[in-house]
Amino acid sequence: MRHCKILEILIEAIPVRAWQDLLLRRHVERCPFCRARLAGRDEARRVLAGEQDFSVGLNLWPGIKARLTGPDEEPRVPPRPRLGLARYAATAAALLAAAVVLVWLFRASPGDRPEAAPPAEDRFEMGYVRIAGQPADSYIYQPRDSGMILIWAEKKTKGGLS
Amino acid sequence: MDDQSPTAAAREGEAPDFERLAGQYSAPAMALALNVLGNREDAEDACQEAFIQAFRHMDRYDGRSGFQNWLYTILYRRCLDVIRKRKRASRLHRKAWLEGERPAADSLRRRDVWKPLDEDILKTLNPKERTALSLWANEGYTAEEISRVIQASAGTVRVHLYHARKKLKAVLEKRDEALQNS
Repeated sequence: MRHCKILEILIEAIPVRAWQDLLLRRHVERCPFCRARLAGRDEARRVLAGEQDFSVGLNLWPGIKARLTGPDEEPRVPPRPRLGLARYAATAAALLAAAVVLVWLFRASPGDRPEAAPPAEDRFEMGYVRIAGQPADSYIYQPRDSGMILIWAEKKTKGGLS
Repeated sequence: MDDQSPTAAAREGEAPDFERLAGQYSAPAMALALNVLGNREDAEDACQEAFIQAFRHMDRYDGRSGFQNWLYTILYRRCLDVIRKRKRASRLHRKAWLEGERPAADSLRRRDVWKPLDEDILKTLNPKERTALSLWANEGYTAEEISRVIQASAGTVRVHLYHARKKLKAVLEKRDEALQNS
């Protein structure tokens, strides 16, 4: 009996109808305890309206005939919202939005991006620096946002900078 | 006239006898509509609409399933339309309907003749469960046959039927208990 109650809770909790159906077919339809908790056909007939309730006094034909012979006025039912399509559209829009956000987030900010090399004609280049026929140490400095370039050259000394 | 007669009539080049078909299937159709809608006036409207739609589009009936089954499929959709329209109606109107404002003596007399749908059943079971239960109990339909009417898988119908039967049993037990206590 406890097993039945667990299964009953499972049937209520499982969101997938196919699995609910599997449990129903595997257990509920065969278990006398579970079946006793379900209303039978006779019990249902007792509370539902049945054909016999309309065996007298019901005549739909005059109304049907009047409408059939009248102008063809098919009742206009507003189109049902296409949930499936709407769901797909919403998912696609969400994915697109997520992609845009991701691109925006992971795009390197201008400060982080490596600066592109200046064009060749603007580039400052210097050949090999020599002092008294010997290679010299040279230092080039260009302050930011300035056209000025400072060059420092000195004789190479054995112990480093002189 | 058997269930396949509209197709047979079409094969023989005769127009189907609509009046006879309406007479034959009015009562079971009304029972189903009343069980789904719970309201006689709405049930009558839904039935008439369903018959009209069926008769106007008789050429679409292929005879594979019985005429009654085909009619029920149309009727079920009509009932859902009525429910949808009802939902769109004002809250006040809906409340009045649910609380059963039906004091007119005339309507009460008619209800005595045409058994009204139990209010508890109407409140506890959803339209799909009521449809499945009605077809299962009144027509003896199997889950497969019901699935063709409500356009769902047989498994889904079995689940609807399970819930419907369980809820119904609970309602009946509660009522019996109340009767014993009174």
